Amino acid sequence: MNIKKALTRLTVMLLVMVIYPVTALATGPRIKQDLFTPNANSIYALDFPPFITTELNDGGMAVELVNTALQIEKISASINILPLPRMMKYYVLQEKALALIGNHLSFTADQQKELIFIPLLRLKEHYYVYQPKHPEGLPWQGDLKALAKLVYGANPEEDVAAYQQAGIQVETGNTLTLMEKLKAEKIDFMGNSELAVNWFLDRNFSTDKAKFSKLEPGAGEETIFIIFNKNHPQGEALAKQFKQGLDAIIANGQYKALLEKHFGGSEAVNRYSLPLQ
Amino acid sequence: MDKRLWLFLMLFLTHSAVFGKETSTTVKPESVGLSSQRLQRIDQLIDQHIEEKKIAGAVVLVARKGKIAYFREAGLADTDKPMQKDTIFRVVSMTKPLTSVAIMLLYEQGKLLLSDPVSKYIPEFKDPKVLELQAQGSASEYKLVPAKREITIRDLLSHTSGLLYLFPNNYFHERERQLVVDFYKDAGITDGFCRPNETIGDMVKRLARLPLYKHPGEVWDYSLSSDVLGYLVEVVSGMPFDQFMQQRIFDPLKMRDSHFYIPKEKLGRLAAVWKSDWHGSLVRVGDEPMIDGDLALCPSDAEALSGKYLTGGGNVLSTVYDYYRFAQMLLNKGELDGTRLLSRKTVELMTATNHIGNFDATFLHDHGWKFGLGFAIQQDRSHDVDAGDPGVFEWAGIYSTRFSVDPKEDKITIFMSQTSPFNLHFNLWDKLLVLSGSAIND
Repeated sequence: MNIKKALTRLTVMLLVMVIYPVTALATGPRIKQDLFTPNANSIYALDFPPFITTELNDGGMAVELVNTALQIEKISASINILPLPRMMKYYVLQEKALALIGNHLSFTADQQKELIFIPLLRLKEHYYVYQPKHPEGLPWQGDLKALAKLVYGANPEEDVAAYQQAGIQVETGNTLTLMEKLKAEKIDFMGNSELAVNWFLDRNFSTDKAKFSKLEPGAGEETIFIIFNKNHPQGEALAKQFKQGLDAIIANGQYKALLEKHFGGSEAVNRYSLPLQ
Repeated sequence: MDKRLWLFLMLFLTHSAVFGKETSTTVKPESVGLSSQRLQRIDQLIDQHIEEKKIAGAVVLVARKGKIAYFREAGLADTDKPMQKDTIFRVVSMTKPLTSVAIMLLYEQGKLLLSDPVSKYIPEFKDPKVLELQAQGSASEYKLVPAKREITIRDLLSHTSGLLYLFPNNYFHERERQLVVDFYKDAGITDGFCRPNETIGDMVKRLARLPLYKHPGEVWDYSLSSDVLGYLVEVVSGMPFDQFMQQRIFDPLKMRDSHFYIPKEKLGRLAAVWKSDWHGSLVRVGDEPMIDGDLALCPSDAEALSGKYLTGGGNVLSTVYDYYRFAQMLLNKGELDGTRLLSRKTVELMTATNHIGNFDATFLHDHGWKFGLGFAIQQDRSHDVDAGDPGVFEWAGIYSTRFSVDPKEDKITIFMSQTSPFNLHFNLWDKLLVLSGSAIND
């Protein structure tokens, strides 16, 4: 090797050492913003255990359904689970997020025009009472008027017009708060999916579990939607593609298999949910 | 059984009960360089506050050179029982230094680094967002921007995480703070002074997904950071937080009366909480929560014999003597009675190093105070709150409990009462530290 070549190589090596200091590499990566890799296709999901929750590795049934439909269509998107409806609204309305997953999300008529609602899961709902306050249950036979003057516990964004028209007072709170209010006898009844109520009964009310009574007949249904944002650059196109993916997993049996996995068998699927189509 | 055998057993058990327990014997103050006469001024200070019905009662301890030189109880623990040296107090935020030590035990085992992002252990903390106000007339009042970096364990220990407590919202009126506190309230986040019906993990995982008040490292704000640390202990150690504290701190330090939930047999030793206007109106607080704006206190929650909420920010019930043992361990650079809990280097890192840069730890203190890893540290003697020496480290609890450790003078001062609101007792505490310091006579 001649001297000129050797000098050139040495210069290049020195330049590399200056530009990429070895000390930074030797100590491993530190926490910097550029270590984050935010996905342009952000989807935000509203906490609703066991259907949407960080407590389960797969994020819960609704999240796994969405991920499966996304995968089949090869759509890259990140799903973040948030605790508050207003954070969801912030991200979709202000940050132009790709989509939301959740139930009980109310939007104005103008906002709805910018959104595409795709049902993911239809859940059967029941009313619940706290036995010490209502040992005989409630006179519920399907007509809300029979429950006039009682206090109903509603989710923060739930449409409560029917309750108010029936003369029922309404208090709001998340599921855990409503169950605590039920136990504290501050409300008379609340409605929710049996699985959602059981989740909190097991975790937070294990000693009082038997005192929470489910009323028959059922109280109707609750739909979990994925809501695409037309204001996202690819919102409409990805909504269409996602719907294809959802239809595909329904057709190939993956949808049913996922429901059976999460609900615990085909009988439980019928007990807790309604057919999507 | 033979009568002599019974007698022997009785004598043995009595001996164990008396001598098996750590003694809280006081020494003659002069033997540790303190003036008995001057220490008596503390009697007068506390008695005067009791006579004037500013407080119902208190227990005060001053120790120097590893010996207790002053240990006195005065007044009432409850309407029908006098204060005792072994009265049990809600030490609330004096739980935080205990939690910090728990984290440092794991740090010394190589289980975590202070520079680790919290999200490494609690994934919900990944990709935090910071609430920033928008210009007037913007579509949204605020914007949630990606944090410049993630929250580290050091941030939690030094309260530079960008997390908040709700109750300071009563005193600091800023729009960003209000908006973040509103998020907390909507998500059911509380300061934990009323014990909610959930696990600390449930709360922390919700909190992690809410906006931060400021970018991590760019603020010093007293917060729920220690509550997050308590859950972190559970995640890293694989043990419930209370069990970890029992096995790794309370048992080795022989803190026999420190608990997260009070044992039934000790319920009678729990002090009542008193509401004082500091002008002669002193009322024992009942079972109802005390709500003052964004401050919610539930003193009667401490009577629960069990529960699932284990918070690193404020759950512990303890005695003056137990807390003295903890403080003495720190003053001894990690060791007490032959048991080494932490290394000298770790205690120095916690108590002698400023971790908040140019910020001042003004909450409870003043300018001239910095923050270590769980304690405020006095930096100079040119400000209004003076604990006697630069290097003094201390913290307090919301029902008027405080401790102060002066490494230079080898001195510990502990005061415990159960009086609310806490912000009226600063005068008493400052005077007590003056009396404790001016009793030094060598």
